Amino acid sequence: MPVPSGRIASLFVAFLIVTLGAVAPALAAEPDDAAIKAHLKQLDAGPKTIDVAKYPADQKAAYKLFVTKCSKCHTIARPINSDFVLPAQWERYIKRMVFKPNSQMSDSDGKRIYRFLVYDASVRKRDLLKKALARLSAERQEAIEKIKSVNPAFTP
Amino acid sequence: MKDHSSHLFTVSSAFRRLALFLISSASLLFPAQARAVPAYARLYDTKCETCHSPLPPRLNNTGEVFRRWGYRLPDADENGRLTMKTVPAHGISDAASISAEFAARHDQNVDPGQSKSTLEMGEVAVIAGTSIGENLSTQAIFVPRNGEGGVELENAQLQYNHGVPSHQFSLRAGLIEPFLWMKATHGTLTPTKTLAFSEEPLIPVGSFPGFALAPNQVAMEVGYTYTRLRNGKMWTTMLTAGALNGVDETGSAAARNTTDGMDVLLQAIQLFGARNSFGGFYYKGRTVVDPFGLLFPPGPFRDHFTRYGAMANYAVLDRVDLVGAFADGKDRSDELAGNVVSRGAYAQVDVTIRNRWIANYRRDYLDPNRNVSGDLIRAHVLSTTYQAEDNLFFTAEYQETNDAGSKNHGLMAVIQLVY
Repeated sequence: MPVPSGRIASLFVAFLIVTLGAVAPALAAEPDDAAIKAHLKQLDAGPKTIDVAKYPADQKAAYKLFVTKCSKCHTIARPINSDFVLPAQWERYIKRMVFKPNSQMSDSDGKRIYRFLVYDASVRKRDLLKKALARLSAERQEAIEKIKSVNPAFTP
Repeated sequence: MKDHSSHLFTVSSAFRRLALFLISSASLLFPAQARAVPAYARLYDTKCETCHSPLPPRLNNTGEVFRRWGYRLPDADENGRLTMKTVPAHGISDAASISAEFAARHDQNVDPGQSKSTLEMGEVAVIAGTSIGENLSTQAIFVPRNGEGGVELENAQLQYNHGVPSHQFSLRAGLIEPFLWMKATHGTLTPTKTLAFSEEPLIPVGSFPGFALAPNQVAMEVGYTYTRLRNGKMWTTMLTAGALNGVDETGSAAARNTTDGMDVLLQAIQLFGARNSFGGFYYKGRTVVDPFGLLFPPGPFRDHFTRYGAMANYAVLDRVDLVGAFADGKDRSDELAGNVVSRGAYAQVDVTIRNRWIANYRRDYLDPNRNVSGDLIRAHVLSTTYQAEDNLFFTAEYQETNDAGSKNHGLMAVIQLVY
């Protein structure tokens, strides 16, 4: 039911000021948040596709699944341009995504996407991967074996 | 008692004609209430699809829980345990979205003196909401321009949540949207809303225009939400009990309770899968008709009404959603010295043609008085919507309304901008 506009507008402004303005100081953004947001923005602004023309057939199929599932909640550019390259990093990240409420990603989907991302890192981000492997000590051999199980042609 | 039954019949018919006109011909002139709120997606750095399927404004189960938890997103830790993600707004600019609608419409049959074809500037609305700290949340919907050129505060609520993510107790109060199950009311994905769950009264009882289920009401509600998460699959049960001011003699939401007792609404909803649900409700209310006895001595009269119903939706395939609901009701009217028993139902299928492009078909049915024959209202609604980018929606709709044998065909095109 329409009521006098001035009164409603005043009520609305007062409501917002009281509820949002009053609590804003207590909710100040942490510096880390800003840095993370800036980093994610940078990833989102990068390339949105991967040229999989030379990838094996099963990885081409997995790429389609990756694009469908991983663009549901965030940009597909985010994982494509991510600086994650090690199998353990992808394993942890994909598990988190599968566990998300209503992710609609089965374990099998998660495994195929994991294998694709490990393979893609061993080809497209090869230099970055080698540097990351070089920084590992005890886990290095295990990581190499995991990469070779997906891409036997990979040489560290 | 003075016999005014023939007059009442005329009044009732006029109410219903007006209501049908409002619901079918000019529904855009009235608040749509459920809208996509891109501010939430920006705040949580996610996409609309996280909370809406197949398209906004329909909430999927993540969106339903997000709303129920006071704008806190259900999430999981590294072990798959349910957690609550909170990103409070740091100011109004973080919390607010704006929406505006523009529509073109053509009707085959209109009342004398009215144009068959119109261009309508629909409503402009500002929607702001956020969690506040660990327990509080708030939402307000302010309409600086509704379809009639007026100003409205459509929603202003404060909510308190308490408990762990799997067991949440809530208390919300203010000018609230009482129904949790939005798929039956404001999440229908068509510009024209359903008959049984309309915002406009369609079941006149004597000189009382009737009680409509969908409008916002001044109310206080307590609720309990149980959520379980296992391997990314969420299962949620929602229970609520609300005390509401109800409606006044015009059928509009009452600013003050019009009788000595509050209206009561009980709801139970089960969510399963990504977007499936079923639930039921029971509403008991009353209002005073002709409160000053000016129209029909010996008024005033009381109208006691009850409504109950069930609702369900199921995604049979990833691209096909089925939705169905019914609402039965009875008005015990002092004015008519009798009961008016009503029933309404609808079934809808929503098909995703391709990403962000959907088509909908709905069959609608309403029997305003089951003791009277030949007064059925039926409707076919065929609609398609394309979401361009995150902020722009194009909708085209055809509808055929059959009101007791009198047919109307309508065409509508709507552009909606939400930012």
